[in-house]
Amino acid sequence: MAEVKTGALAVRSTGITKHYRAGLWWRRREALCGVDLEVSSGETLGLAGPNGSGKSTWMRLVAGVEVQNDGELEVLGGTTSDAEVRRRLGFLPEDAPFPQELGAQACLDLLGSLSGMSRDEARDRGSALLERVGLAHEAGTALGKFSRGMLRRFGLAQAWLHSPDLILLDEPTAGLDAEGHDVLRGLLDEAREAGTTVCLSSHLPGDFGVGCDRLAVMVGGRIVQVGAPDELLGEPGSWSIGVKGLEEARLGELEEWLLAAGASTTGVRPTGRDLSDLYRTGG
Amino acid sequence: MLTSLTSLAFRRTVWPTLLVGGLAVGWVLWSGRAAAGSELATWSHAPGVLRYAVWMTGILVAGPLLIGRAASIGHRLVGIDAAWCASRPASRLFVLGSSWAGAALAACVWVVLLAATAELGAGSEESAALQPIGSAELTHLGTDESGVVSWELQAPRNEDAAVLRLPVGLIATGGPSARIRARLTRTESGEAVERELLVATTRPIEIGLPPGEGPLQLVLERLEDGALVLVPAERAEWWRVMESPTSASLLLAYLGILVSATLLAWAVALGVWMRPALATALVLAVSTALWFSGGALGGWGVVMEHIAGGNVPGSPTLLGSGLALTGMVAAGSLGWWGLRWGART
Repeated sequence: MAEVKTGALAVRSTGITKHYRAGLWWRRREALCGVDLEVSSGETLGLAGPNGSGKSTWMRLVAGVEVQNDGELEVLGGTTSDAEVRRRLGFLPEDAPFPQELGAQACLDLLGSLSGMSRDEARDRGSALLERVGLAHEAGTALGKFSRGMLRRFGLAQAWLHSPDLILLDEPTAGLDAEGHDVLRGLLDEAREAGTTVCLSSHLPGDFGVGCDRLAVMVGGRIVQVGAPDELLGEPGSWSIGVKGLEEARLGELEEWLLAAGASTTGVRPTGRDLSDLYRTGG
Repeated sequence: MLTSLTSLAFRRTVWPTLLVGGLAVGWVLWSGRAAAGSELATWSHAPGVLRYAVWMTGILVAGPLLIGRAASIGHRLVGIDAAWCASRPASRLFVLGSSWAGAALAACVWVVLLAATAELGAGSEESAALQPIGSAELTHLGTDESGVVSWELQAPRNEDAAVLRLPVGLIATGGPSARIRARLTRTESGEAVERELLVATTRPIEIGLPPGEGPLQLVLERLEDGALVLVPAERAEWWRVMESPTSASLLLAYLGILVSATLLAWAVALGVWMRPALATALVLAVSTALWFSGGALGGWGVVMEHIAGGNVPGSPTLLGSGLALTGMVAAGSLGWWGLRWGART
């Protein structure tokens, strides 16, 4: 297990189990089978795993949306039944289930009031966050008319609304466009600077390139590996090198050099611009 | 109270109710007006009948809709809405209470609109409206060979009592109706009120209270051969004359708000624990029982009969209001328990 970077723990999950009952025969289905995981304050933890591995269930338990069947869950030094703990939590749920009939700003006002913010405070902070995630011009639009990516951006705004100490992001990149990825990266950088703890889940390895300190891998409701992203996602002896200022015609020389060194290339493609640049410049 | 959550629940409940209920009530009013020129129009102008039609349509169409929406709100609080609601520091009791308040507010708006529509549509009353104010125990004194039956009863406690209403049954043996004479006499002073009545339906018979004080004697006498008239109950009711029949809708509105707030509280609470369709069905089953049964919160069927007859329902009792409040608190506790401990797990 990788070392925890800072002192106090933001989340301590010990032997957490969770099951659901469903179907005609009320059959029991295990979602979490004894999850042991610690997240230290100020850390950005990535939670990886295939679909149905229990990532969202663990997030919902930590967010206080559901209650575990067994095990101990300590969040920000308390439990989520404590309103003061929930006041310090921000949560982006997986499927953006926000009230479809409300406009973005009105919904932030509602969520602000549920978080104990004053109307003015929620309005000011909400406007700033909508601007930050690129939705300022859609502040009055009903959420039901938002695309999936816009809802994801809105979800990010609401998670940051009350300046929480622990932010849980369940599949934050799902449906996000390149610009949305930039927004998320920026918000995560700011959170890191502010000492905010972040847990983000995904089933795509590329999503953890946004600066996770540690990566926990969950399979079948259990944590199977925890470590630095490079340790877990990198293959020994395999490297990705960025090259600038080389003519395409001379790429062959570089490959020959690598072959001479006993290595082989697994793929060569042009880099340097990403999709968000294309969006900004119109191609 | 979380006003923004109340506003959301109100919004989710009021529009479908206004739309569907409004269309149904509008149709009732339109069909009443459309028939005004025809021979069939009499029903719509009879005192209280249009008022009855508006209330019945409003309750039967919008009632299940309101209950269904409230159950759905409760279900969302542990389902889809839990994701953004449960992770916030707001108390779950406040979340539940605010959501219920929104649904109850929608019911209030609907009931007030219904009362206003019923009164505007009812037109002027052609006969005095009555309101029940107490019951009278009948002590059977005897039946003589010529078929004269007499009872003794105590003087009404309420000074406003003006009319005695006696429930009757009818067995059409010797004909479809019966002609009878009813006489109500003060035992001590001998002052009496006498009426000849043609009993052709099971509608209660009415006879005025004679002046004076003290116990009374009621005598029913068959005047000619015809149907058999039965007096099935051992109680009759004292009624008073209402000066303003408009109070019928005011009283109905109060009762409607009280009952609907209680039923909606149960719909929200049960919605927390089960699927909205099942929660709605359960609450509707209880509502149906309340409709047909008596009791402090029940007897709506009887109340609506009074309205149809151009009369005014009885005043709400303290017991009824207390029961409604207790019901709301019990429902709130059940719902809170579900939210607190996760009803779905």
